[in-house]
Formats: sequence, C-alpha cells, structure tokens
Amino acid sequence: MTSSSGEKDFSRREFLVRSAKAGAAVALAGGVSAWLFDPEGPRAPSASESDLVTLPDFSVSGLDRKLSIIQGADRVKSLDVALKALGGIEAFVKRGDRVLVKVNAAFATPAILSATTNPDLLAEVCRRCLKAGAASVVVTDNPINDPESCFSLTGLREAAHSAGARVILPRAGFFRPTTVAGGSLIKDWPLLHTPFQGVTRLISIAPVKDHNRSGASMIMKNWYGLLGGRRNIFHQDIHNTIKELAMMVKPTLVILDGTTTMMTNGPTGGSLSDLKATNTLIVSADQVAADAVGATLLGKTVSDLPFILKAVEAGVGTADVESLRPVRASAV
Amino acid sequence: MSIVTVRRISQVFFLALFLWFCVVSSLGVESWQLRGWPVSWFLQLDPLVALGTILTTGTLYANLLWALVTVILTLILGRFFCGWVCPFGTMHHAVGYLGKRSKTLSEEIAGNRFHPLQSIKFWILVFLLSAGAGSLLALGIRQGFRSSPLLWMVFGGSIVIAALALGGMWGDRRKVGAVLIGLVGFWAATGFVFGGERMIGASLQTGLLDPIPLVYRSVNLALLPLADSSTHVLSVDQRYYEGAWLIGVLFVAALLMNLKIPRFYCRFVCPLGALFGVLARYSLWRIGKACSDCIQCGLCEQDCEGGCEPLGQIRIPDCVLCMNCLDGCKHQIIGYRTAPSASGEIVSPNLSRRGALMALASGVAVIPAVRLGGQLGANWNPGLIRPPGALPEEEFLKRCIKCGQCMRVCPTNIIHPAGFEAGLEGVWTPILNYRIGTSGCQLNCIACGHLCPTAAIRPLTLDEKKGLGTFEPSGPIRVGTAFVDHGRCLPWAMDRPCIVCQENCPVSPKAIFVREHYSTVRAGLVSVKSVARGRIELAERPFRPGEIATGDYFLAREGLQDGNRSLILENSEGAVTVQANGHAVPEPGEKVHVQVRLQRPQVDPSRCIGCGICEHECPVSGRRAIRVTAENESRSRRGSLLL
Amino acid sequence: MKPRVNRTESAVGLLILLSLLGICIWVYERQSRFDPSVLVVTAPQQAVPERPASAPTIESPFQSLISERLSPLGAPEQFGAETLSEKINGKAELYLSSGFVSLQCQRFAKGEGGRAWLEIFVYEMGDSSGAFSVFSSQRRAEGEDVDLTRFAYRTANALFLAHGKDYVEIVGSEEALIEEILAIGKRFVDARPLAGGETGELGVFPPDGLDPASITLLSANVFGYEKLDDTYTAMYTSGKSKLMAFVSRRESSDEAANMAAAYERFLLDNGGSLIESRLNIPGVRVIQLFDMVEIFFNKGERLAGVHEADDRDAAEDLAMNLYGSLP
Repeated sequence: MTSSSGEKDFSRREFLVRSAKAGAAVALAGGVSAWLFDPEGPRAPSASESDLVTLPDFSVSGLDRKLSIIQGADRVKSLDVALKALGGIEAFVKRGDRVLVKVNAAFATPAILSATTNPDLLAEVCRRCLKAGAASVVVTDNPINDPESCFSLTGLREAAHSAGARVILPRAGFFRPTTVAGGSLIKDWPLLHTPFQGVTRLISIAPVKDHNRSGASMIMKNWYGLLGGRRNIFHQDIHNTIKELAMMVKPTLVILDGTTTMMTNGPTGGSLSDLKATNTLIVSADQVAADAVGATLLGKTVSDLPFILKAVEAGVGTADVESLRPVRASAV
Repeated sequence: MSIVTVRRISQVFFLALFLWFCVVSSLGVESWQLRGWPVSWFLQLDPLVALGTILTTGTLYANLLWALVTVILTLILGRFFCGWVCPFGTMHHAVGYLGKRSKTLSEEIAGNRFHPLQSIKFWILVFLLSAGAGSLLALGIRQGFRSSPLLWMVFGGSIVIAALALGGMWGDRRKVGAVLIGLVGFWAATGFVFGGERMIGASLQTGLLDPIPLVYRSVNLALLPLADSSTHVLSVDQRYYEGAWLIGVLFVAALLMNLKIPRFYCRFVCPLGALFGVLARYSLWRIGKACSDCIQCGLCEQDCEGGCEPLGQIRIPDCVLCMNCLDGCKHQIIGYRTAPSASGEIVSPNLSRRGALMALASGVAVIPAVRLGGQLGANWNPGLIRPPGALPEEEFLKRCIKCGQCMRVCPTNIIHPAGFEAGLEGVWTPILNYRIGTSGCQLNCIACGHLCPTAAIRPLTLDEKKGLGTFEPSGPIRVGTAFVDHGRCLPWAMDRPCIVCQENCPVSPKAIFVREHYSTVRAGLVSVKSVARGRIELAERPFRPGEIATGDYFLAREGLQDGNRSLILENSEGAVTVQANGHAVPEPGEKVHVQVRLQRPQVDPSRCIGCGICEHECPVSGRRAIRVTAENESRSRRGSLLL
Repeated sequence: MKPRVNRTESAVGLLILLSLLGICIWVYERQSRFDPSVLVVTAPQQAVPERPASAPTIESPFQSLISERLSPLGAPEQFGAETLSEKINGKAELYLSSGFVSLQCQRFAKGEGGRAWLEIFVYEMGDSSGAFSVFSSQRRAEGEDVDLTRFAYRTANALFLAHGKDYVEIVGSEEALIEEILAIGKRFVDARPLAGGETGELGVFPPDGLDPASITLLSANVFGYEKLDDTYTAMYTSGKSKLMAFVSRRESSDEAANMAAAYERFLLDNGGSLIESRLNIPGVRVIQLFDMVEIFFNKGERLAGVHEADDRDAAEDLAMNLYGSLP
C-alpha cells in the first residue's frame, strides 16, 4: 500500500511538473505566435525608408564659392599654386579629418591614356591631406572594369599607397540603397556607402574627357562611380542622371584635371592621338563651376552640355564662372 | 463506441475533407468550385509551415495562426495529428493495412518493432529547419558581436580554451588537430558572417518532405489531372504540369513502402511527425501501461502504427496515437493516461547531440552551397517567371513551401512546378510556362496570391495588379517582358503577314504595336508584258494562282514612293489584277515589284506586363517567335529595363 | 472495470465526433463567404468598375432611342482610339484603320429582371466612307436588307447599319428582341436626318446590282487622269458583265461641266473616239476606247458615268440608272 501510494504521489508530482512544462510550452508557442503574428503579410517590394542611406554634406561653410584655374603642364606645381590661391589645403582639411578621395578609375588602362585620374595628382593630394593632419585618407571608386585590375593598372593603387592612403575596393556588401531627394531617377539604388563610414571630407579628382553619351565626363559625371547595381540603365537619360548625381553628393573640394584633355573617343580613349595638352588644372568648391570651366577645354560651351544647366537649375552650383571671382594664375 | 472506431471515422473524415478541398480548388462559384472553401486549411494547420516561415521571415502570416491550435493540442495530447488528421498518414495507414493482410501475427509484430533508423526523421527535421535558419543565426551572431567587449570576450575565451586544450592534450595529435581546425572554422565562419556577404541565407525547404505540402502537391498536380483526364469534370481541358511525373512517382513510392513497413514515411522520413514527436515530450496524456502485471503477449504491437514499442519502454516521440494497442491489449493494462507507463517510457527523440549539431551545421551550410551558382545575383535566370505578386526571389524562397496551390487554382494552367530553373532550392516552386495551358496570365485574375498559404505570392487586389486607383503611380504588376525574336517572327523573318500577338495583347493601350513595312517578295521583281484595264500581264510566271491575292500584296513601280502602290486583287500565274488606284499604271516592259505589306510587331517595354498571352498565341508553335522573360518584372530591380 | 472504461471511451469518442461535426459546420459556413479572387474573376463588371461610371448620374446617350420597356443594364461606356481594344479586343484594328473616332455603347434589359438584353454600339467614324467601310467589310452573308437607311441589314437577333458617319450595331441576346431592335434603329435614323453633304457620295449610287463592299474613294489621279480627283467608284453586276460606275462631286455645276469637257479631251488624246449616244441624258458623252466604252455626263455639281465597260448595253442601262439617282 505504502509503496503504491508513494508511487501515486510520485506520479502526481511528476504529472504536475509535466503539466507546468506543457503549460509553459503552450504559453511560449502562444506568446511567440502573438508576437510574430502578421495578418497583413509582406508588402510590395520597396526599400523601407529606414533602409535608405544618404551622404552627408561634406562642404566647408564659407569656402563653398572658391575656384581657381591654373595654367601649367606640371600637375603637382599647378596643384600647389591652386591650393595656395584658395588658402591652402589646410583651409579644407583640418587635423583629425577623415578624407575620402573619389578618383576616376573607371577603366583598366594605363595612366598615360588619361582615361582615369592621374596617379601623380592623386598621390600629391593624399600627401597634402595627411600633411594637413588628416587622420586617414581612403581612395575609392566603383569602376566599370574589374576593380582589382583597374586600380593597379592605372597606377592609382600604388600612388595612393606611396602617399600613405588606403584604397578600398568595392564589394557587394559595401552598397546600401539611396534615394536622391528631389530626384526622380536615382531611387532606392545601391550606393557605395561603406567607405564613407566616419568620413568627414570628400575630394573628387577627375580628368576632363569627351563622353560619347553625355558630351563630357568631368566632375559631376565622376559620381557615377559611386553607384552600384546595373547602373548602365541610367544611360537612357544621362543628363538628368548626372544632375541627380550632383544633387546626391556635396563634396568638400573638386579637382578637375585638364592638364591633358581627352578630346575624342571618350570616355575610354585608347590612343594618344585622342589627347590634347590643354594645361589647365581647376580646383573648385563648386562642382558645377568646375565642369563649366572644363567644358571650354573640350571646345564646348555650357549650353552644349545639358547636364550643367540642369544642375544649375537644381541649385547644385553655378555655371556663371566669373561670379565666383576665380583666381587665375600660371604655374610656370 | 470504441476509440479506434472513432479514430477511423476521424481519419476518413479528414481525408475526405482534404480530397474535397483538392476538388474544389477550381476558380468559380459553383458549389464544387472555390467559392469560399478554406482549401489551404491543412497547410495552415501544419506547424512545420508556421515554424519554417517564422525562422525564415520572423513573422507568422495570417492564417498560419491555425498551427497554434495544432501545437497546443499536441502539447496536451501527443501526436494526434499523425494518427487522426493527417491525410497522408491516413493513406499510409490504409496501404499499410493492405500490406499486412497476408502476414502472420509474428511477422506483423516484427514489422512494427522500433528501428534505430527511425531517428532519421529528426535529422531531416533539424536539417530542413536549419536550412531556413541561416539568416536568423547570422543575425544573432552579428547582433551579439556588435558590442565589441563580447567579441573580445569570445576571442579571448577561445584562445584560452585552445591553450588549455592544447596543454592538456599535447600528446594526442588528433585532438589537437581537431581543436585547431575547429577554431579556424569558427573564426572563418564568423568572418563570413561579418563580411556582410549575402551567401548565408535562409531558404524554406521543409515543403520537400513536409507531408501536408507533399500530399497537396501530389494529389493536385499528379493524381487529379490523371483522374480527371477521362471525365473532364474539374477542368474543360486536360491539365498539364511539367515534371509532375516525378512528384507522382515519389508519392506512389512513399505509399508503396507501406507494404514493406507500415507507415514507413511517418516513422522514418516525416519531418512534421518529428516535430510533433519533439512537442509530445510534454504531452499530458500518453499511452502507457497501468501496472506491471503484463504477460508480454505482444498483441499491443500487432497493429502499432508508430513502431513505438508500447510493450516495453514506450517511445513517446514515435507514438502516433493510433490507439490500436488499447484494443489489442486483452488485459486492459494499456491505457491513455496521465501517468507514465509502468514499464517506463522514452520521451526524448533518439538523436544524439552530435547528430543534431551535424544536421544543423549541414543545413546552414547547404544553402550557401546551392547558391554558389550565383542564381540570386548576376546569374539570375531570366526564364524564371514567377506568378504575379511573387516576392523578390530571396524573400520568395523564404516562404514558398512548394505546395502547388497556385498551380492548382491557376485557371489557365500556366503555373508549373519548377525543375532546376530556380536552382536546387527552387525545385517545385511555381514558374510560369506560357506554352502549356490555355492562355497567358489573365488580366483580371488574382487567384494564385489568394490561395498561397504563406504569401510567397502576395494576395493582390485587382487594382494593384492592374495599376489602377491608388496603384496608378507604380503601374500594373509586371512578371516579365515580351521580346520579339526577329529570326523566327513571320513578318520579321519570313515576309509573311501576321499580327496575332498585337491583336491578342490585353493591356490598354496595347504593349505590342506594329510598324508597317513593304517588302518585295522572293522573285517579286517582275517585268510587265502588257497592261489592260488594271490587268497586268507579266513576262515571268512566278506565282501560284491566288497566291498574292490575299489582300496583303501590292504592286509597286520601281523608284516610286509609298503612295503609288496598288493592291493586288487577283492573280494568275503570269498576270495580276490591281485595284484601280490613282497611280500611274506601269508601262509594258517596265520592272515592277510585287510587295507584301507586313505589320511587324514591336514591344513597348513600358506597357508590357509579361502576361504571355502573345507567347501563347504565337503561331510559331515550337519555340515561339515572341517570348516572355523575367526582365523588368515588378518584384525586383535587378532586371529592370527602364529608368 | 470494462464497462466504466468503455463509458469514458464512448464519452470521449462522442466528444470527438461532435468536434468533427463542428468542423463540418465551420467549413460549410466558410464556403459561403466568397474568396475575393473568386469574386473578381466571376463578376468583373460589377466588382470592379473600370472607370468611374456612376450609372445613375450619367445621362445615357441612348435615352431617346429606347422604349420604356427597356431599362439600363449598365452604365453607358465610351471608348476612344486608345482604349477601343478593351471593348472589342482583336477587332479594333479594323475600326482604327477606317478612321475610328469614338464608340459609345450601353446594355439594356427588357422587363424586370428579364434575362433578355440588348446592347447598342454606336461607332463614330471620321466620315461616311469610314462608316460604310466597316459596315461593308463585316456584312454577314445571311443578312437581310432593311429599309431603314441606305445601308442597313438585319440578322435574326441584330441590326447593323451605316448612317452618315456612324456605324451602328444593335445586338440582342435573343431573337425575340428583334422588333425592339428595329424600333431603336428606326429612332436612331429618324433622329439624325442626313444633310446632303453628310450622305457623302455613297447614297447616290443606285442600289440595283450594286456591290456595296466595292465602293471606293479614289483621291487623286483617277483613271490615269491627273486633274480628276475625289471620285467614288462602285462595282455593279448586270447579267454576266461587271461594270464600274463613278461619281465625282465638283465645286459647282460649272466646274462639273468643265471637268466633263476636260475628261473628254483626255480620253480623246489617249486614243478614244466619240461615238453617238443613244441615251436621253443631256450632255452625255460616249467614247469608244479600244474595245471598251466610257459613258459619262455632268449633272448638277457632279461628274458621273460608267468606266471602261465591255458591254455597251449594260453600261447604258447603268448610266441611265445613275443619272436618275443623282440629285
């Protein structure tokens, strides 16, 4: 008897424990179901607002109307004169700033073809930034050809490394969707974003090139290299796309290299005969004005390049170069 | 009434209900058509569907809440679903019964003995669920490591452990090697997760073996079309499903296995049964012996469906509550009680920790492996056209359970189970095929999304599908874009008039428009012999009588412009009669062109929704001259054609 | 012991069977609440008004045509060239190529909740030749001419007519509606008396032996004569011979007379010879051209005649008929 009643007690206790466990499991299942319950189901695919990223304003207040146009065949000398005219790189890059340099590394072609940013110019800019106290300088671009070979064959990787800067090659995970405020084309589109983390200053260095589709590839077109995805669909409306690119990015300083200009067969070129020595370096805080000056090197006017007027209309900058009272000098 | 009789009634009831749901899944308002029948109810009751989508998406979609009822009942009663509700289980039960008839009592008992390999189903369960849990695990690791102290703790901890392990087992090279390899693997894995690469993903594969989607798929895509092929009650035309033979063969094979071992699928394979087995651990009522006065006659195992050994230590995870042992026990020792069995019980699945970990790891790893082909990225398959409202591919694969409800209900029979078009993980997911079936995707039909139990295909309103009302800015839902194959299209390649695709394009304004083009036909440069009142005798005799009198052919004077063509009304071998037209009649001896007026189709990609009616109707019946591929589909931007 | 267990068992069994019954009732109840996708497919018109057509407020354009026995079965619809294919998918091309402007249509039901209904389609074509063109190209072989307007025929359940620049179809769901349909057609025609110009030249061809489908407008360089333009031609069958009649409306009667004279000169220059007329038509010219005759005359503002006929007798009969039917 005793044993059987003991057994009963045991089994009752055990049953109670089991009931408690089952109850807890029911409560857990119910709780999780209630917590995760989604009567609506998924919505139409579109990035929710919170996923979208935008680039901050990198411009330096008070210095956003600076422009210098320097004549000379030696890029480094021209840069020196140009920066001095604007108050030195120190006016733009302060101690501790983290600088990102956006180059044009679009093609895996040698530097001599001027289809990409000139490596000497890049090295000099990086060196000066670091000298001014920049905590770090990173160089990036999302080129059209394979990034690895683009950065090495153009000499840009070596130039950056020699000056103490770091090159960030784009990877799939570095892109985040962005939407240009006030735009209609660049919507929920992947932007090369990770290299911008912690960055406080943005400098763009681009050569002056003829461009088969847009008429010219200079500073504003250079932002195209920040887009990811199947971006070539933007070529269906290239001028408005360039305008929106310019709206998307507010750089600290832009350096438009017209020392050698690709006059024909752009944007790839491929032959030295496509090039012409135009011996001009444009350093500007106003990207539109820089392109407006660059247009003259290609023998074009502002009205030949609709994207410039569109950018002016969008309030990105001015094409009235003289209104900025540019510093003109010669670096001979 | 005996409880076994009640169970049989219940089984027959649910099987009949299931078959009725299969029958009524045709669009329409007749009593045997869709109306409001809750045809996906069994899928909604299936907790594996609910759990799988919770792991992949972190949400529990609408009617999948039904699974909570099943879970709660299982937590109280045990695996009742398998023995009382599951239509596939009932089929196994019935076939198994047929198989047993010729066997002796001892053979029957032997056939119902527990087999260690019955634990395979738990491996399968863990494997399938972990294939869906990849992104959840990655998220967990990423969140956990976001705070860097934790990262350093784990890092330091693992070095300490490694050091201790190495110190303690210096002599045992194999163990040292294993520890080192494990560490490297661990850090490689975390690096993988940190990289933010998209390789680790979640893919819902439970539907491959989950019995409810399996039985829906098999009955709807293989059995019904065969059964209906002579009666044509359910559909006017024969229903076809690409690759349905494999679905049918697997279904029949699973059933035939019962002749060898009763409830083979339930005991060895079924991941849903395994899930119930895990849940049954806490069940309040369970089968067991009331006392130990058992003479071990073994009759309780004669008809044991689960192979759970009620005679000895009953294995609760394998017991399907068939209640046959209650009937079998002539001494009323076995009962369905709250107390544990007097001869003891085993409540845990027969699955070692190592085995579970292995299944988990391989499940997580298999998805990146099958995605190595890059089909979710640059190598996406343009032939993979998903039904309208389907989520972006990655999200779609997180939800689709391959149940085939969309394929069953599609009124035009264009939704088919995919082969490898969507990669290995996309086997039996829905893909549109415009060659089979009776038309393209109907403009006014939204049935597939409304039957989809997991919203892998979102339920659309007609306004959203057609881009009306509030959806006007986003436009209609596009599943792809039609492309004209200029090498095959009759007016483009063969000088034959045809505007079938343009005529059939259902969108308004039409996405297909035509450009008129006059083309001189083969041997169409002829010289005029004589002219008399619109009848022109030719020097050559290149035409069959009537051949160029179809209303599409014109006579054009060489060098003259468009306005000076005249329609050919009649022709014999060497003469044509043209409609009196203001143009100057050719002179004898003059060379004239016999031209055909072609209306060459062009597709306006901003209008085309990819419905495929043009492809279906195209008279080039083999490889169509106009074909839809998934470019520009609404659900994803990777294939967008236009700004 | 056994009976007690069995009583519990039975009670539990009963409970389970009751819950099965409950499921049955629930499923039965659910099936009457229609799935939205079912509603969409089975009742597209009612469930989704394609355009904001609040039926009661829109005045039906056909209100004056229908008798009080008919009531609107849906809102009036209107389609333009861009949207025509929504209504008549596949056939739109036919209308568009003939100068389609707009389509108005509406369904009407007869009696209360009656299953009989009819639909009126009024296609406004650019001009009367467009209307005639779509009329003639769709003419049903079994059609039977109706004396409503020049170009009208009926079938068992429908009426088709071209009137001015309108092409009208009135189609009934059953044959019993034909009287109603003919009445609508008559009211339609009566409500739109055609001004002379609007008739176009289609009405001037005498109907005997006319192949209505053959009427064609030649806009320039008619019969090889560069000065002759805007001429309607029509084919006639008379016995075994086929004849072509033509009518060209000129600016004024003087112009018509001048054109007749000029055309005569043109024919004579091209090898024709004037022969004597046997016809009682003022100013008629009969010209022998190789083995054919050309008969023409001017009446009022029109130049008319029979072109290149093999059979002179038949040609003369047709010319007389034509003369008679010209206003």
